[in-house]
Amino acid sequence: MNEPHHGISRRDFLKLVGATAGAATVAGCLPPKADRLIAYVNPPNDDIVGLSTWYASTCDECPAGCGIHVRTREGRALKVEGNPAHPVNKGTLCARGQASVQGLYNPDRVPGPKWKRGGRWLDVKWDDALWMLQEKLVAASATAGAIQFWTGGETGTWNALLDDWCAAHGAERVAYEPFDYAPVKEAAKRAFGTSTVPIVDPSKAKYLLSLGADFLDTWGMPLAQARGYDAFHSARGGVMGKHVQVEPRLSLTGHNADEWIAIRPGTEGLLALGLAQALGGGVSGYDLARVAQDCDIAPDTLARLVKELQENRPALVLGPSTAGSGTNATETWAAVFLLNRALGSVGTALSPSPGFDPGNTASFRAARQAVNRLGSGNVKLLFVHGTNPGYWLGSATGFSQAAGKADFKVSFSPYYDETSSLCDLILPDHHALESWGDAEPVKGVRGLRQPAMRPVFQTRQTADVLIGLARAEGGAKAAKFPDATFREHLIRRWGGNADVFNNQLTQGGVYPADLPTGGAGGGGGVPALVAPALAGKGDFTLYAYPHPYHADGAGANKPWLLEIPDPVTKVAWDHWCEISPDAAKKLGVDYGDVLAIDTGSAKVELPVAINPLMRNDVIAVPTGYGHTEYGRYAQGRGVNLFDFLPAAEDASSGGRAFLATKVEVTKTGKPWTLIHTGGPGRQADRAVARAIPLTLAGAPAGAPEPKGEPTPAGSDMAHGPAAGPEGTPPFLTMPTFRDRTSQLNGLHEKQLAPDAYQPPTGYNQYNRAHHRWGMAIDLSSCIGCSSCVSACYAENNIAWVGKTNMVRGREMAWLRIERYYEDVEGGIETRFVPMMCQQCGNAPCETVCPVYATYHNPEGLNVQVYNRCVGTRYCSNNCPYKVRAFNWFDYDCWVSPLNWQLNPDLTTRSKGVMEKCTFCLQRIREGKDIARDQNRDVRDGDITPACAQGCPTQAILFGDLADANSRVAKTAKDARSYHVFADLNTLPSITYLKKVSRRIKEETPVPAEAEVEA
Amino acid sequence: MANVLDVVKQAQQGQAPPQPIPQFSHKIHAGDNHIPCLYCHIGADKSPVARVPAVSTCMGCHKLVGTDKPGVIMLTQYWNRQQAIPWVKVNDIPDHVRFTHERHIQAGIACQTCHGEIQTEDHVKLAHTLNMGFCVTCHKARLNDPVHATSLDCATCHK
Repeated sequence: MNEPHHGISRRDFLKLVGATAGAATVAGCLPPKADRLIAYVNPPNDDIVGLSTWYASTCDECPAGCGIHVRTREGRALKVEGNPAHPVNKGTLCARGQASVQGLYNPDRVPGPKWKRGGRWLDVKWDDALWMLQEKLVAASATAGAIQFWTGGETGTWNALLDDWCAAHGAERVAYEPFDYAPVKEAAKRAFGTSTVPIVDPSKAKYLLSLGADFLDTWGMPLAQARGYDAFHSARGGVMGKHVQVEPRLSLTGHNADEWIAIRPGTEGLLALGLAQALGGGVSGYDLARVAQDCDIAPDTLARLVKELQENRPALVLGPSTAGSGTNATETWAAVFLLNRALGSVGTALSPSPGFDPGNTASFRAARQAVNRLGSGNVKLLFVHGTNPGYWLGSATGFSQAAGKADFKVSFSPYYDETSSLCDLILPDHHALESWGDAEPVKGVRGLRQPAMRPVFQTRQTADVLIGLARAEGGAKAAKFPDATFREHLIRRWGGNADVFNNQLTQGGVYPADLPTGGAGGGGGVPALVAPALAGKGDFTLYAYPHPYHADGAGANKPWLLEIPDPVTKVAWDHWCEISPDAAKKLGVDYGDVLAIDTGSAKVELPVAINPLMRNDVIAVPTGYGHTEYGRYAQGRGVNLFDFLPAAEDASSGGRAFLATKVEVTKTGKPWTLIHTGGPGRQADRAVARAIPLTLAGAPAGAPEPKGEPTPAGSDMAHGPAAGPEGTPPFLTMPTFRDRTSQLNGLHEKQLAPDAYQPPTGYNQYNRAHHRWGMAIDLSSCIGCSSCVSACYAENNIAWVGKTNMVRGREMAWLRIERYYEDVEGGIETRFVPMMCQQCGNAPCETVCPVYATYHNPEGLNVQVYNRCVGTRYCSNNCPYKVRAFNWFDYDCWVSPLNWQLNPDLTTRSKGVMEKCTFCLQRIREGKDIARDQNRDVRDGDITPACAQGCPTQAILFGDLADANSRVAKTAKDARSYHVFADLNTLPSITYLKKVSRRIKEETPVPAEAEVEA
Repeated sequence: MANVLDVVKQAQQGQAPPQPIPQFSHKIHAGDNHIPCLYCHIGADKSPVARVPAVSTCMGCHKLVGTDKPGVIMLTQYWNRQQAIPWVKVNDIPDHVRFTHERHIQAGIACQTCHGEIQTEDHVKLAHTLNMGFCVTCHKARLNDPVHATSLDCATCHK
C-alpha cells in the first residue's frame, strides 16, 4: 500500500504515448492517409446518396416467382424484401429469397469468360470467346441434332426466347430440374385436364390432410400456402382448422400439424383410395382394414380420420413431397385428387386451373434419353444454362461421361458448379438481381425482373449473348431476332410501349390482387395403384426430402443458409441422416455418431440426428449437400443424394422416383461433431413456450363481440376477446418508461408489482419521447421456417462464424427459433418460439454493465453502444433470455465481394464487442425521418423490423405500445398474451401469444413464481 | 491530458489540407457570388449525406464560366477524362456515429455552426473537431427548444 512509484507509472506512460502521437500528427498536419471524398462524375437520376432506392423485381431462387423489392444504396443491392402487392407472397419472403444477395455477391462466382486449356481456366475476352463460339455454332447448326441446350425450368419471355433460338439453330432443348413435379402435373392432367400443379389455399378448407407434402417449406408455392395456412390454422376468432400430417418422417410442416401419423413410405395413394372408398368416392377394393395393414396405420386411427373428413368439408388433401414420391407417384397423386373431389375442395382449396407452373421441365426419363443421345457422340456442341445436370444427373444417368463425348461444351453458369467444371468455355450469366426478365408462375400473374444494380463481375446476360450470336450469323437467323438486346425484346413482348413498360416495372409486373382460382373438368377415374418398387436390401427405407434452405442444392453456396440451423433437427453446416429414437437405440448410436448407409451398390457415411417422430424402418436424408464444386462454402459437405440414390422413375410420368431403395444401416463407431443448436428440446417447466387449449382460445366465429375493447378493424392480429375467459391470466404488466417524470409514469407505478425492483431514476430527465416500441409474437402463427433469422442476418450485418466457432457456442444470430417438444395426448407437440432481445423495461443486463454501454433509452429500447462496450460480457451473463452475442474475433466472413452487402446504416461490429437485437433501430430512425419529412407523427405500421417484414405468416407484429390504438398495444392485451420469464420482473417489450393447441385439455400449470400479479 | 484522438483532432483544427484543385475556393462561390450551399450540396436538406457535387454539377457552370482559369482548366481535364475529383475529406464524423444533415438543416441550423465561416475561406478548414463534446454541447443547450427539441439519448446518434 502507498508504495512510492519507481520509474514511470502506467498513467504517465499513456500520457506520453498520447503526446508523442499527437506531436507526430501536428508535424504532419494530417494523418498520412487522408480520406478522400469521391463523388459521382455523372450522378444517376434515381439515386440520392445516403438514402435507399428500391427496385421492384421477381425472385429467382425457386419457381414460385415471388415479387420482391430490392433495397439498394449507392448502387449496391443490400437486401431483398417481399412485394406487398404481389399475389404469390404479399410482402413476405422466405430464407432462400433473403439469401439471394449472398448468391449475387458470392466470392465463388465466375468473374468473367473463362476458357479451359490444359485443365486450367484461362481468362478470355468476351469478344474472343464469342468469336470462338460463333465459329463452332455455325458449324454445328448445319446438322440437325448436333446441338443440345440444357436449361432449367423457365417461364415467360426467356423461356420463349430459348425455344425460338433452339428452333433456329436446330438445337435440342432439355429443361431439367430434379424437383420437377412431373407426377403431380401428370396426375392433374388425368384428373382435371390441366398440366400444372394445382394451387393450394388451406384457408378455404376446414380440414387439411397432407400425405407428406411439405407445403410450408419447399413444396409448391410455400409463401402463398403458408399465408393460407395461417388463416386456416391460427385460431382467429376461436376457429381453427385441423391439420393432419401423414408421413414417414416428421417434417417442418409436420411440426405444425395437430396430429402426426406415421405411414409406410410409398403407400400414401393407397390411403387416399381407402379414404375415398370409405367416404363414398366411387372406389372399390380398398377397404380400410386392408389399407390399415398396408399403410401400417392403426385401424381406429383410420376410422377416426374418415369420421373427421366426413364432418369437416371441404377438406383439402395433399400427396407426398417432391422427393418423397416413389415409382407410383402419379397414381398416388391421382388418388389424392380423386379424394379431394370427394371432399369438395376442388376449385376452392385446391384450384387446378390455371394452377402453378413450375416451368416446362422435361421429366427424369426425358433427361435420361437426352443424356443417351449426348453420349452417342452425335452432339457436337453442348450448352448448359440454369441447370446443374453434373450434380443432379452426374452418375445417376452418366451425364458426366456423356458430356465428354461432345466436342465443345459451353456453360452459362454464374458459378463454378459441377457442370461448368465439365465444360470448355464458361460465359457467365448475370445473377437474377442483375438481369432483365419476367416470370409467370401462374397464368395471369406476370412478374417483371429488372437489374437492381450494375453487374458485380464481368458477366453478360445469356439472353443477350444468344441474341447477339444469332444476329451475328445474319440471314434468316438474325431476322428472327429483330431486337438487339433482351431488354428491347422484353419490352416488345410486354406490348412494345416503353413508357407503359417502365410503369409496369415499378409495380414489378402485372398481376391480380389474389391468385386466380378455379376448377376444371372431371375425369380420370380410379388410378391403378401398385406398391412402389424398391431396389436394394436392408431393414431401412431411404426417405429423401428437400432441405428447407438448400432444396435441390442451389442454396448450398450461401453461408447464411448453412449457418442458420435446420428448423427440424437444428443442425448447421453439416449433412446428416435422421432415424427414430427406437432405431437409434437398436443400432446403439447416439446423436452425432456416424452411420454407414449401404444400398448394395453404393455406400456412404453420415452422422445421425435423431428425429423424435419417425418410423423405425425409415432413414431420412436431406438433399442439397455433397457438392464437389460450387464454391468454397458448398464443397465437401456430406453426400450428393442425387448421385447416391439409384436412378428410378415414376412409371407414368417419367419423373424421378426418389423413394427408390432400401438400405442397410450400420454403426461405424466413428465420432462426428454435429452442431446442434436446439438444446435438449424440452422446456423443463420453465414455461417459455406456452399454449392454451383450443376450447379456451376465444369466442367462436359469429359470436357477439365481448365487451371491452373492440377488435381493431383491419387488424390481422386481433385474436379473441379483450378480456380473458375464465381460467386465462389477466392482462399483462405492460412495461412503460423508466422515467418517473414522464406522462406514462403513473401507469408504470400502478402496474409494477409492489415488491418489484424499482428502476433508478434521474438519468432520463431529458426524455421527451412518446414512443414505447414493442412487439407481439403469435406462437400460433409461427411455423418455425427461420425466414426471420435470415432477414435479421441480412439487415443487421451479423457475422456468420462457421462450424468450428458454432461448436463452441459462438453463433452471432440476434434472433433464433427455439423449438420445444411437449408431451401431449397422443404424442409430441412442437412449439416454436422466435427468441430475441426482449428489450426489457427492467433489464438485468443494464445494471451490470460497468461502462454504461448498455442502457435504457426513453423509447423503451435496451440500447447497446458499441464503441463504449469493453467486452466484460457481464450483460450476457445476466441475461435470462441468452440473446446477447459476443464477438470473440473479427470474423473474416465478408469475403469480398460479400462485404458489398453490408448495411451502411449500422456499425459492423468488431472483436471484443457485445451485440444483440436492436428492434432494427436504423429502421425506426428511418421511419421517424420519413414521418418528419412529411410533417406528421409516426403512424402504426410505418416501422417494421426486418424479421416482421418477411415473416410468411406475419406472426411478428411491431409497433408503439404507448399508442393505445396501435395493433401491437391491442394484441399485447390479448387473452393469450404472456411474457417469457415474467417472474423475473424484467418487464419485456415482447409479448408472446400462446400457441393454440387442440391437443391439450388444459394449460400446463406454470410454476407459481412464474406468474406475477399485475 | 486529453486522449490521443482529441490531440490529433485538435491539431487538425484550423488546418486546411491541400486539395486536388488548389484554386477551388468556397469564398468565391459561396461568399463573393452568393451561391447557396444547397445549390451544390444537394443532399443536405433531404439526406443524411450533404453530398459533394458531381463533376457534372461543376461543369454545369464551368463549361462557360471562367474557362481560362487554371482551376477550371484542371476541372475540365477531370471532366474530359470522366474522372472523379479526389477531394480530401476535411470534416469527418467519428466511427459508430450516424449523423444526418437533413434533420439539422431542416431544424434551421446554419451550415456555419459546424463548418465555420466557410464563405470566407479559400481553403476549407476544419472549423470544429466534431467530437462528441461538440455535438452534445449544442444538444444540451437546445434540450428544451420549443420547436426543435434535441435529444441526449445515445441511440439518437450512435449506430
